[in-house]
Amino acid sequence: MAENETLDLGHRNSGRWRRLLQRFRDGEHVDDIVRDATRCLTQSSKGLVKRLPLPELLEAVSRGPREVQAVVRKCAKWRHYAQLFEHSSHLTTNPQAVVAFVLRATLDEFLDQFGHELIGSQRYPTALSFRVFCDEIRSRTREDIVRLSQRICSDPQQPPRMPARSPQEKDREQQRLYSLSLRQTGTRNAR
Amino acid sequence: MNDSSYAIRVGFRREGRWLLGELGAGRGVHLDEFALCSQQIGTLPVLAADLLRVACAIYAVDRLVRRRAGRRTGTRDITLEISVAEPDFWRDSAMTDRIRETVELLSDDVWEFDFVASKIKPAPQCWFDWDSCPTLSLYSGGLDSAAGLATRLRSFAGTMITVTAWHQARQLRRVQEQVLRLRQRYEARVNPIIVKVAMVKPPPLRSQELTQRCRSFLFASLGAAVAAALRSTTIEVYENGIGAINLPLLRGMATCSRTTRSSHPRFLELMSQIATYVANRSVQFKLPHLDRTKGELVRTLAADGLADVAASTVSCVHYPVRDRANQCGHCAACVGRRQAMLVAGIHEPPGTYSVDLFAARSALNQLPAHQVRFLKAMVIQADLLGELRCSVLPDWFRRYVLGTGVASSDDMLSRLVDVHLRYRAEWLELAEFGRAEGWNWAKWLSQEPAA
Repeated sequence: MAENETLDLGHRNSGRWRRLLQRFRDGEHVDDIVRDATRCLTQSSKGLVKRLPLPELLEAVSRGPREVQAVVRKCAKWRHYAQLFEHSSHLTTNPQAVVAFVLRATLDEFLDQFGHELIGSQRYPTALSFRVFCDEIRSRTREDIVRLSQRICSDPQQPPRMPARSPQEKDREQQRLYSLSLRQTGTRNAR
Repeated sequence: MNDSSYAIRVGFRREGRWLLGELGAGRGVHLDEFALCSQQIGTLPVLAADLLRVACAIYAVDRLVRRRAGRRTGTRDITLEISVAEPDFWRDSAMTDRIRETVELLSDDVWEFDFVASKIKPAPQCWFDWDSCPTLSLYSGGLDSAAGLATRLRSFAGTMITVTAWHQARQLRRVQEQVLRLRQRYEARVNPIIVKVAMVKPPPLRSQELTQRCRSFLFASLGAAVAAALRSTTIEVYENGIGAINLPLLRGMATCSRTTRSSHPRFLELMSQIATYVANRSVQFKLPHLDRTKGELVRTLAADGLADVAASTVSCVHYPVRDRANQCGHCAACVGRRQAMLVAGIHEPPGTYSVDLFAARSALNQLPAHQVRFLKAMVIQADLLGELRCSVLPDWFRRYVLGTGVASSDDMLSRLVDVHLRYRAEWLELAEFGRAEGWNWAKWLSQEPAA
């Protein structure tokens, strides 16, 4: 019974995740990638807080999957994430653990999309080489995910704050933007 | 079906507004109930006929109401009012909840149902009485159906009725020829029931919802209706374990209807409950080949001299819409088919597929990206399945398998792990063969170094 599958190939509108993909492509240091991945996840969790009935969902999680299912049916927006709550609620009834599952699933989802784009390139010639790299990112974001999930569960109506950038990071970002700006000016001058 | 026999009122919500429409049997959707009458089983029991009405309504609406394009969460909000012969039976919350849960599992949408009394009631009672209750199987004319039936007939004594929903051009002759060939090969009693199912004057495909997640509800309902008429207790579904569970190719596909669940064990469990209610006795949908990969099933055809039957099957999701002569060669179904055929040692002649991704020196980088993406996703998945060898099963596997109700026991989990690891081994072996042949994609998949 073959049927149409729809590949989830990416979030073309999400600049933050696109920038992270670019870091993968450029082969930047794993520390930078992990920092950016954490930032992306923080942004996603802000979305969870804003767009999902999180207090209701977390309360339902502790009562079991059936209850979560009933709440998910009411979620018209961000249903994809709501369903992740539902699936994860089959593994545990601990709300904090479920939020951590959802955040890890979000990270996995994007890493798969990056893999689909990058595997076969010079930097990641095989699926295995990409998977090994991703495993490191996963293990190094684990603590951040736990911290984020704790934060969300302690106050599910307050979006978590974005981690502050170090002066070096700010400087690097400024340089990157300068180069973009100069490139455009150069084009205009050439005309 | 008579034009005036029943009507389907459809409501769906878009951008906060409710839109209403009406379909009628024979006008919007057509199911050849007369074919059922002429093919051995006489008039359907009332509740079975009602089930087919409900299934037709869901099938038609699933095709006509489009998901919002470009949105990741294309969830639809659909309300159906269907006229049936026994509205009280269908309005019972146990029945409505089951139908809703089943359809929502398949489509990841929000469905509501209401049932009203139909003016014309079908006459009950079967005129054809079977001596013994035959075993039923759903048969689509695809590779899994043929290989699954062949595997089953090797050790089967009794009468087997194959039930086909004829929804695709050229499917009728294909199914008849395959069943005849298998009947002769195994000297078995196999009788096909083929029922035409079609939309009447449907809009062009580009205006339809192409995922068609709910059509398996119609196919399974057809099986349930025949089971109710023939007093059968078992309906077999010949899907391999990998296809039945259908782990998402990319992990973001686990939700929002991106992944089909047409033979998902939980779907079949819910369908068994619905069929049991309708038939008023136990009817079970079974997956006898859940422990096998597609390649292992197809090996039966190769070993029993039935390679011609394998070649006559169609797997492509685009066939015959985009290319009337060939299967496309690059959709998920085509890639899965080619992998299984190669694993089984059945070599198909050049030109069988419009795009040959398994050709020597295939220039993948010269192909449009959309023609390579499913192959790439499957290779990535085959690599990822290596994580199942760890003592602790990865989150993504447990979340999907437990979250969608595939497994509830450790024994079941270990069976699923086993079949997925064998599937991965098949891919690794194929990639090794491919590297020697110069297949470009084969370089993407490599064996992990021994620890």
